[in-house]
Amino acid sequence: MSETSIVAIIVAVLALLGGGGFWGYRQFAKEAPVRKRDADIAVAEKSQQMALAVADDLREDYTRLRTDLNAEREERQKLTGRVDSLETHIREQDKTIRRLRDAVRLFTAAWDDLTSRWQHYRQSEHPPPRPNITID
Amino acid sequence: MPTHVFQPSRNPPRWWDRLLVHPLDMTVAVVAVIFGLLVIASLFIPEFIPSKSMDKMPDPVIILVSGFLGTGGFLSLVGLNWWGDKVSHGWSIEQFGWWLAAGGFATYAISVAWHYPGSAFSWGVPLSLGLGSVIRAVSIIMIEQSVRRTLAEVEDHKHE
Repeated sequence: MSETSIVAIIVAVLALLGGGGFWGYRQFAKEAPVRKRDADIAVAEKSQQMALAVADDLREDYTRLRTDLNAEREERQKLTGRVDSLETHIREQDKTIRRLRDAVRLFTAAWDDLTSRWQHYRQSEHPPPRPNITID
Repeated sequence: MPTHVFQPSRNPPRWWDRLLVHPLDMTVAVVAVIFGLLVIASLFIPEFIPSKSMDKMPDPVIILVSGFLGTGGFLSLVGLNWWGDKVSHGWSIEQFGWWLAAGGFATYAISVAWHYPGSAFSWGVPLSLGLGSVIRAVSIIMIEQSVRRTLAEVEDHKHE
């Protein structure tokens, strides 16, 4: 590329940007001037809008958290119900196991009695009495 | 995002506050002014060569490029530190300054790239500064439009 074409490019770029800048300057001048106080008001308004946007975001967060909390509370209540019914179930099973142990103890005693008094029972007319056990 | 912009507590702000809010804009504008002045000075002092690629260019081009950079940087600084009541005047001057500085940086980059194409950093930096200047000019136009729009909204609220 020759020096003439580079110079032409440089002049064209300068003319374009300089001309564009001056045109922008004229466009600005056509509008009514903005005073410092008004510009400060505009900035304050923007800050207020931003603060409101932040507050809105926080409110959305809060609503979402409240919904989540309610859902969690419902789940917890359901779980409490299940735990209560399980507790009752376990208590009943404990009772059954206790009764079964008692029964086993009675049967063992009856068996021991049968073993120790075998001679007597063998010669007796009647069988030994049935241990008194009731299991529901 | 406002958390990344220094918020001056004084109104009107002092020069130090302005520098803290616009450190890079101020630096680029000052660089443009210094560059413009140095290249203009080289026209009067033949043995002083601040830029080898500019030195190889014809005088009118040197005057144009340094004139754009110097004037652009100066106008950007004036607009950026506008002290008057009409802030829109500051915006218009600053955006004009950034377009001029962008032209100066871009053409300087073209000149360096033509003379020393292998020295990518030497022409890449001014080209980037030119792009940055264009973005700043566009952002000022957007600031101006946003303020006018907000003011119109505030006016509408008052009349409601």
